[in-house]
Amino acid sequence: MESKKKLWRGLAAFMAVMLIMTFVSRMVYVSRLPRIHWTNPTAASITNKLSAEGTVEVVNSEAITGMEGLLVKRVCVAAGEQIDAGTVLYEVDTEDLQVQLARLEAEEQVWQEQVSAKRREAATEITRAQEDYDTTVAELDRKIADETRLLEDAMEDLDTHMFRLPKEDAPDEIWIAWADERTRIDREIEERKLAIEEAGFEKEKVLKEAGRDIEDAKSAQNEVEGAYSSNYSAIGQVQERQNKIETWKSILEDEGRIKAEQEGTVLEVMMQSGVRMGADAVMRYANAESSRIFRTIISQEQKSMVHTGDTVRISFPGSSEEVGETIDSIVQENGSYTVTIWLEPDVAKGRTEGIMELTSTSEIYDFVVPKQALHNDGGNYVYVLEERSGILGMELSVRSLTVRLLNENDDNAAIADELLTNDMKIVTQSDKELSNGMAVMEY
Amino acid sequence: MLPGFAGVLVFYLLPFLEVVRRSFLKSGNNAFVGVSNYQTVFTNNAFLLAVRNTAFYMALGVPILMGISLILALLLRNLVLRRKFVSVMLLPMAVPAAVMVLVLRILIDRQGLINGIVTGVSEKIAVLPIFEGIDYLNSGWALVIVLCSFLWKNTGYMVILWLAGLSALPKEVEEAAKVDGANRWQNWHYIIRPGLSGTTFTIGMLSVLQIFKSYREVWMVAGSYPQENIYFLQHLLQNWYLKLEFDRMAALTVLLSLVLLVVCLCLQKRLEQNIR
Amino acid sequence: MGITQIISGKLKKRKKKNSWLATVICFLMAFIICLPLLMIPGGAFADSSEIRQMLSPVLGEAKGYVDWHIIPFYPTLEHFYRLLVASPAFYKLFWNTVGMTAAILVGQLLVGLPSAWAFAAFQFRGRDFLFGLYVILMLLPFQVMLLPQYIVLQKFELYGNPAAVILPAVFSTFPVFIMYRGFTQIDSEILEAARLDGAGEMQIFLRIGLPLGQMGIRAAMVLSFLEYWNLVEQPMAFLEEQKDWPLSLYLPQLDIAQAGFAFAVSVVVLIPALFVFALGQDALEEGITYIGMKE
Repeated sequence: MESKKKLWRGLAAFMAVMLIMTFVSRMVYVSRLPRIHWTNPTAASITNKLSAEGTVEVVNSEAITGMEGLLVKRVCVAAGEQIDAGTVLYEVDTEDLQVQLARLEAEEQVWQEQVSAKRREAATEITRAQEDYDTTVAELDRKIADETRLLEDAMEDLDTHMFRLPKEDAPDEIWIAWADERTRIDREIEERKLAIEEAGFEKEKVLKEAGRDIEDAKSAQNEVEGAYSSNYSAIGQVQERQNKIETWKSILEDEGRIKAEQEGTVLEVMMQSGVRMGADAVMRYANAESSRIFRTIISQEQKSMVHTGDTVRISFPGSSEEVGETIDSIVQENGSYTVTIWLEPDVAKGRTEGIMELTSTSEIYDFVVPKQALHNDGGNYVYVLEERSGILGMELSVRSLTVRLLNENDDNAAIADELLTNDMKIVTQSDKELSNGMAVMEY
Repeated sequence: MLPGFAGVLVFYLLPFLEVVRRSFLKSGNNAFVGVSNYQTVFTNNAFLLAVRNTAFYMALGVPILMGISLILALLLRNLVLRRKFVSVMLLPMAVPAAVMVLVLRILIDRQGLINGIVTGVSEKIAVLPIFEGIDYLNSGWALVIVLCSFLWKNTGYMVILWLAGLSALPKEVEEAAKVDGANRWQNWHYIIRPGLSGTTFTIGMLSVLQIFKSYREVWMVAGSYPQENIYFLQHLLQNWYLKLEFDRMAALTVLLSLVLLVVCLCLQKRLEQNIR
Repeated sequence: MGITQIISGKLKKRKKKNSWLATVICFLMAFIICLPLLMIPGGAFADSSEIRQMLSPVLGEAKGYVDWHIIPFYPTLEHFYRLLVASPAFYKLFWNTVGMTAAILVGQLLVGLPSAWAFAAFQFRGRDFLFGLYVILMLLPFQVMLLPQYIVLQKFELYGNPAAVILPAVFSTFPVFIMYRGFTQIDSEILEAARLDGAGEMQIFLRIGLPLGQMGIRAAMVLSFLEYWNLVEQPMAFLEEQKDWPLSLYLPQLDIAQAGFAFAVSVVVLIPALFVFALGQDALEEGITYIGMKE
């Protein structure tokens, strides 16, 4: 009987231990269960926000060319500064300017003198040729006049001679004498005619020669003048110099200040004080006719959100300005995309950076879940909370469900699968790593 | 008394009558089909196999069980440590079938413990041919395994029954015979055996029923579709149940219970005879 | 020396010789019977890797044969820790089994005791027929009752419920039979004497029936316990959900690779059964003799 009592006690103790251990094992089990939050997938749209930093660039800007040869004393404006007509852009060294100006004027002087000397020379040459011509012509004219008189004399001799014609019966000697006389007179006329003709020829010749000389002299003079009229570069140089002198003089009058001619915005300053300027542009500025473009580079993923013609908002750091503009072009460039937006003329004056923001709201998707519910392991999947009947009775467990990802933003993801329903409980959060079929607890 | 009987009525008798009714109906539309269910049963190959196997198993198992337990009972009868041995022999009754099956699986696997031991022994005795190992569950040995596990579990039970029968024998007769110089064989042949004839019959019947009831281990070791030597009627019933072939099953149930009824009635007749 | 003395001396001598041989044979039998049980602790306490190594041929991972250590080389409580601390499922099934068995035993007592007493103490019309019916029902194997019980459980919509296992078991006729046999051991003269003394039937049952028939009652309980503690077919046929399963269905599901764990489960399952066995062993033996007893 005693041993039976012991046995009963043993059995009771065993059962008690089992009871206690039941609780212990339950507690251990529960402490190991992942605790989860869940939500139902809802029908909603996905709002995507795209934000991209970019630059504002100006196209059609105006350039200010430097005063070549002048020394910059001080630059008075900086990039981004607004300027009006008359704003001092920079100053040049006036002392240097005076030196430079003097040099330039001296150069001009020398040149002027050279030109007048040459002109004089040419004029003398012409006069001389004219004189030569005149003398020669006068000499020949006198000679012709002399010969003509002699000819007229001979002609008169002939007439007289004819009247002295011997009578028919006059002796032969008379006749012979007369004939001889006549022959002599004829010969003289001939001679005189020849001489006149010769003198005419001579004059003609002299005239020709003298004319040529005059032509030569004239052309020499023309040459001198032509050196300035036909050679443009030379004229340009001179004019440039003269303009320069004019400009420099006015600068000097203005105490070396160079002023803006138009209002606008300085975009770029390419000059430095203490440096002698070249002929290149030293400043660029945007005036009323200039346009600005906004450019930004977006990734392949972001590309899917924007399309040419979409309206985006652009804001500019450092100002409260914000504008809505449409995208003008999207161009692919080795893996990324450059978005270009032409801004309205008055927009973004003096801004070099901008931020483009695009809010696109998708169609309504049937199943939208928080982003953290979506897991990725090569493919996308979510954990669906289910009740399952196990040894411990009804318990919650998770099952992984492969889904297609339709759209997502930072917070939500639109998913699709034939098995999805809106009553499904999608696990959004868990304090332990989940795996398919794992038993879980709700929070 | 009455609630108890009501329960028996509800859970055993009435449903059984329903089964009898259903055995003549076609499952599904409940059309009356006469004895065609019985015909299907009798022409079913699985049924014939199962009947053959069950009959063979009984024919083998009942005598062996009875023999072993009788010998043990006779040996134990006058032993001082009788009670201790009986307890040990009853111990298998307390061992859950699942536990036993677990051990059995390790023992009788193709590469199991028994084959291991036999191999070890046969290697020692070089004369024997090399022992290849037996895949007990998938060969004719399956029946032996089933039989052994049955014996293991039920021997103690039967020993007690024999001991009870033996103790009912009048001691004086035996002692007197011994005084007369009867040897042990004569003692057994002339005194114990006739005295036990009633008990023998009872134990025989009980053995038949016990063998019928000891399906659990067979199923747990070998599953629903075991090696064909140990495909018993119980497998058939269980499998038809799982396949929801209730019409055939009803017919088989009625047939089986008729057979068992006859066995039981015989048993009871015998018991009643013994009273008179 | 009287002749009787000689006889008794002779008898003693023979008996002794006989006993020695019988004892050896019986020891051998007992050893064979216990051998499989000796494997259980070996499995339950062995380290996982040791079990794996021992069973690797069975698992198909190695050639050769299983090598079982009755006493493990690397004993650990690993499996018991896993079972007792980390497996709430085990406890669920354990209490399922306990609850099921307890419900069945209590139900059998409540239902069976009056029936058994009625059979034992009263003569009424149809008693013999009814008793015969009970005996036949008790001897029917479960498979024969499978379909009838399925039909009635369907009708009552109990299928899949633990009651589907408990209720038919409660109305099982076997414990009635055993308890009845226990009551019939009571000398009928005592009952008649009590009746003559004017004791009520209830009083007789409580005062005489229960104390004197307790052996039968205990035997019925022990036999029922051992039967229902490792119920397999009924829950398998009538229970759908794992959460209602008893341990005896769970254990065969464990893979042989988890042998250590399975052995640990076995040990825990075995403990209550052994307790009950030890507690009711005398009743058990008595009960079994009742089965084969002549009326």
